Amino acid sequence: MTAGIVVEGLSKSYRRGVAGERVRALDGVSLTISPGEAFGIIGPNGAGKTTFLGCLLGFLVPDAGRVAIDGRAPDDLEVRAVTGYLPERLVMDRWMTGRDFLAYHHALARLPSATRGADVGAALTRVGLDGDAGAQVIRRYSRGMLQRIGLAQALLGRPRYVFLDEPASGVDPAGVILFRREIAALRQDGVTVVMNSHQLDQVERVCDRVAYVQRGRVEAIETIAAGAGVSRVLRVRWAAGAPVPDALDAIAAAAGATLRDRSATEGRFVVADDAGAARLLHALVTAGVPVAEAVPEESRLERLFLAPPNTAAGMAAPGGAMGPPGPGATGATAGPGAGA
Amino acid sequence: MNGTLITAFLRQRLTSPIRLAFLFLAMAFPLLFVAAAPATGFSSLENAFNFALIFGAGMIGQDTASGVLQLLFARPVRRDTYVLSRWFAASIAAAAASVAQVGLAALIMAARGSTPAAADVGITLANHLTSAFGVTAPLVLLSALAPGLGDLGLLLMFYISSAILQTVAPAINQPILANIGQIVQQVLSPVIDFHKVQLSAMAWNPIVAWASTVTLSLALAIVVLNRKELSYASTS
Repeated sequence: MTAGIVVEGLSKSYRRGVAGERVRALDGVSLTISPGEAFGIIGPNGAGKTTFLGCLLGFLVPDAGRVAIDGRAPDDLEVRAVTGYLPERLVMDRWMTGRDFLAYHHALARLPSATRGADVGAALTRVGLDGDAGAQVIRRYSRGMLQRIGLAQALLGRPRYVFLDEPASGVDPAGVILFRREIAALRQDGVTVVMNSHQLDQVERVCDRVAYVQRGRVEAIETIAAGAGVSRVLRVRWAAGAPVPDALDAIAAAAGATLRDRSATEGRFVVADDAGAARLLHALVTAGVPVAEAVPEESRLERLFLAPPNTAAGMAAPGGAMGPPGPGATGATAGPGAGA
Repeated sequence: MNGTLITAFLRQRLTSPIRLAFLFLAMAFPLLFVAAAPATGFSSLENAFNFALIFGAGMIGQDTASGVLQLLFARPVRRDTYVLSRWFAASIAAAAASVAQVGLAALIMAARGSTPAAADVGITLANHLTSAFGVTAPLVLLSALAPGLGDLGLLLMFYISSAILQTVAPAINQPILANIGQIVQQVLSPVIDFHKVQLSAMAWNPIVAWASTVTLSLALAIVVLNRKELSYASTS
């Protein structure tokens, strides 16, 4: 039995309308997600992300290929017993109170009734819905409260696999921080997290690897930790009104970077990697530049959206098998924008 | 069957103001007739058909339309268990309402000086119970086929079609069409009339017909739901 999630040659198409043409939502997707890994799925609207998640959860029957979770079919009850799921469209039994809803799912998840009250109370507290909120009918919940109660039900019973579809959509900043904290806690507990999201900064913060899906194919898998070795554009802002040396291009060149352009308040430099960024900043400060801020112009994941990534070096072929990085492997896959 | 699903379904039905309003009407009106004419016995009472519709309409379709099924089937719940639990819960609710109505009718008749015979009460109860568990079976199939309250629409469509067949058949001299219409209606509302069973030499016939209709409906509902894909991505 292979632990983790194994996807092989997954294809799925739909008929558009009653007699319309068939639209291929997934086209031979293959990848592996290791136990305990936080895996993100990103891509433009209509790329096939939700269809992919639907297949991982066993809600959709693929035309070809297979999904195995711990060696079992995704709709196997043993798999479902260790799965938590937060859908994008939070449609719940709105006539229940938050507490009733969690108790209902606690029972459906076959968790012991003896601990139901305590587990439900702990889950409500965990997502900040303790007190009166748990006694409110879900119909009266705000969007943010719905997301929180949804997360609470997904985390009931310490699942080993958690699938999150746009988890922080419509959530206030406090909720976003809560989601990030909970996902970090899941990672610490060795839970496998699969997350589909448009919020790239959140994905980049919480995921180990990210698959970029486009037109039903996995165009790239980015290993977040390996992004330190990826070239990027760094925007360096300096204190307004302070004198800045004219020879910025020479300073940058000496540090192994390239000055792309400059204005009165900032300069844009191309650096090769994290070490290059550190060298550049050190050189600028040493040369007397009053550096106030240095930020990448766009995140690594944003670069995937800016240009088709399937020509970049080190990237798996579209739809090809993509395994998790081994120990010490860089696994870096960068979009063409990386070298810009 | 799953006790959690059954309990949750019953709670949901009993907290729906619209369903409770219809329940009150379906309960009260026949009892008013009984009070007005107690000598007519239980004939004023319909079988459990109305109660089955009140509790059972949309029993799967509403979950499908709302998207609740996704969250439900992410749990270790088998789809056949879900179908059978829905059918059983709706049947139990319809049966309870029906038994309460028969009991109240018997009390009203007794109070008005027309105490019904125990055997008559027993047979009426048996009719109503088989009606409650029978009508909900094809309804669960229609609900698995149609989202929302589409099962009611399908039911109405089939009833109207069968009524038209039965009306038109004599005029065009095609008695087989009338038979088809009659069979459709029997399939849609399987009930055992124990008054007739008592008198019939082939007592097993209606019982087998009822049991086979119920079993086939439930089996087909399970097949339909097992083949249903559950993602908003598939419908967008």
